[in-house]
Amino acid sequence: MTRFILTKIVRALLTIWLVVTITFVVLRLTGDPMHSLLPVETTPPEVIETYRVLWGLDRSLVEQYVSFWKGLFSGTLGRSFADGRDAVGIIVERVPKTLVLMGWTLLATLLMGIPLGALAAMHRGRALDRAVMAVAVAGHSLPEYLIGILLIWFFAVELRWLPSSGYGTWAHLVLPVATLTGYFGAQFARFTRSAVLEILGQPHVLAAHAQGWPGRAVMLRDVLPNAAIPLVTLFGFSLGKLIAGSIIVEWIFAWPGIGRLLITSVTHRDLAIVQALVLVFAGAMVLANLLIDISYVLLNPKLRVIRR
Amino acid sequence: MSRHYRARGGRGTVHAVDGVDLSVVHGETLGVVGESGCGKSTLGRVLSGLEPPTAGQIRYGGAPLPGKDGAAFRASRRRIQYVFQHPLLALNPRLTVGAHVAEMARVHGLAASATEARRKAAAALADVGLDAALGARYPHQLSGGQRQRALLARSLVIDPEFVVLDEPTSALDLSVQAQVIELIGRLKARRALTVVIISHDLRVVRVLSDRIAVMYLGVVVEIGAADQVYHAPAHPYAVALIAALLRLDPDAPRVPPLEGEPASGGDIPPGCRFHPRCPRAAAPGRALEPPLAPLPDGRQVACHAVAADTARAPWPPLSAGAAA
Repeated sequence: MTRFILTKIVRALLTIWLVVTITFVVLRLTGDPMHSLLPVETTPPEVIETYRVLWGLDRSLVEQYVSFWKGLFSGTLGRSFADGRDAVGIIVERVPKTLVLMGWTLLATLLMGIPLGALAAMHRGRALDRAVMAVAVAGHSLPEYLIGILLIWFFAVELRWLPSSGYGTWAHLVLPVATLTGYFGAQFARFTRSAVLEILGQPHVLAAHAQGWPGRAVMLRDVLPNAAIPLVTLFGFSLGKLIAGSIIVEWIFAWPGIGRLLITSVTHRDLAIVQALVLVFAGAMVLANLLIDISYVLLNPKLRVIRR
Repeated sequence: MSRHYRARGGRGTVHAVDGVDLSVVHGETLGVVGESGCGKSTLGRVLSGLEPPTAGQIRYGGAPLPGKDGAAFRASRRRIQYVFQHPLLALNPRLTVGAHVAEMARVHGLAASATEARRKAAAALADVGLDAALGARYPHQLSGGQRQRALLARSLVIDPEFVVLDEPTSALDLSVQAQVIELIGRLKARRALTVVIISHDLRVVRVLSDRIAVMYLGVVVEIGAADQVYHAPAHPYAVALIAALLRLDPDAPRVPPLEGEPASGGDIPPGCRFHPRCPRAAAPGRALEPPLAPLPDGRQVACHAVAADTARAPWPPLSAGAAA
C-alpha cells in the first residue's frame, strides 16, 4: 500500500510539473502581454521597454523559467501585471469562494443524484423511473450556460425571488449551485441507476433475498456498496468537470471565485496570475485523482493484497 | 405444477416446467437430472418458493408456500434454503465469507450478539471443512471448492429442514467434486435433511439420492428409486442419458447416442415431446403425450413404448436385463 501510494505521488508531481511547464512556455510564445496591457500605438517605446524589464519579459525563456521556479520554492508566484498585487494573495482570497460553490454543488449532487438514481432503478420501467430519467437526460444534455440563463430568467427576472448575480448571501448561492447541480446531479442519477440495475441483476442479490434478508437490508448490504465502485470513478471525473463548470458558472453569475479570475486574467494576458491559477487547478485535479485511486482500493476488496 | 415464462420480446411462451407433479418425502434426497434447458433449475426455484408457479401449487408440510417478498416468505427461509449454482456469483464480493455466514445466523434471530454469530459461523465453517482463518477471506480469494463449502455453510448455519442444491458440483474440478459430494452426503446424514439435488451429472445425483427424477423439456419422464433408474432406465431418454456416461465395462450394451438437438421450451413438439429424437418413436407418440404411468417395480415412466412393453410382455421388460 505504501509503495502504491508513493508511486502515485511521484506520478502526480510529474503531472503537475508537465502542466506548469507547458503552460509557461505556451503563454510566452503566443504573444506579447504588452499588447493587451498597454495601448501599444500610443505608448512611447521607452515606457513599454521599462515595463518589459520590470516584469522580466526581456530575459530569455530559460532565465524566466528558472526564476519562476526559484520564486515558487520561496513561496511567491510573481505579481499581477494588472495591479501589481501579489499573485498568491489574490488567489488565496478567491479560492474559498470557489470552494463554497463546488462544495455545495457536490453535496447537492450526491444527495439528489444517488437516491434518485437508486429509486429509479428500483422502479425500473415504471412512472417514477421514467420521470426521473426524463429530467436527468434534460439536465445532462443542456449546457450549463443555458441552464444558468433559464434559471436567471425564471427565478430572477420573472419571479424576482433570487438575485441574478453577485456574492454575499445564501440567496446568491442558490442559482449557481442549482445550475451546476442540474448537470452533475443528472449525471449521477443516470450513473447510479445503471450501476444499481447491474448489481440488482446479479445472483448474489437474488441469493440474499432467498436467504430471507428484508428488501431494505439487501439494498444496503448487497446492492449499494457494490454499485458504489463505478460511482467513485464518476466522482473523480466530475471533479475535473466541476472545475471547468464553475469557470462558466462564475462568469454567468458574476461569482468572484478563481474561475472568473482565470477568464479575466487570460483576456488581459496577466501571465503571473494565469500561471499561478494553472498550478492551483492542476494541483486540485491531481490531488482529486490521487484520492480516488486510494478510495478504490479501500472500496474494492479485489484490489487489496492479501496480508498473511 | 407448471412454470411458464413470457419469451423475450413478448412473443410466445417458454414452458420451462410444464406440468410436473412430484412429492419429496421428509428426510429423503431426490435427484433431478436432465440436459441444459430442461427446466430442472426452474423446478428447483419454484420448489423452494423463489418463483411462483404459473399453474398449480407447492405445498410444504401441508400448507402452500408463501409468495416471494413479505414477512411470511422471509420466515419460511428459516426452514427452506436454496443453494445457488456458481458460488462466486452467489456471494457478495464485498463481504468476507465469515460475515456471510455470521449475518445469516443473525438475520434469522439465531444469535443474540455479534460474538455469538461469529462463534456459530466458525462452527458452521468447521462443519463444512473450512479452516476458521478462511472466514476472513473474501469470496474471490477462495478456491472453487472452498466457495462451494462456504455457500453450504451459509445455508446450513441456520439448520434448515429442506435444502435445494442447484448444480452443487458443476463449477468444480473432478477431484474437488468428489470431496464436495462426500461432504454433502455426510451433512445430510447428520442433520436428517430433506434435499433436492439438481444436476446435469447423473453420477453426482446417483451417489447422493434416494430417488431420481429424469427431466426432458419441462416434464418428468421417469422417476423412481436411484438404483433402478441408474442401472435399468426404462424411458428411451433415460436410457440414452445413462448410456452416454463413460463406463469401465467393455461388455456393456452399446446404445447409439441421441440424434438431433433438444427442442426449446418455447417450441415443444406435439404428442410425446421426445418423439423427434426417440429411437422407439411410433404412431401414438406423434399424436398423444404419454402420461407418467407406474411400472410394476414402483417407478413411473412417461412413454407409450414402455407402457406397451409392460402390458404385453411378462415382467421384467428387456431393458431391465442390465440390472440382473
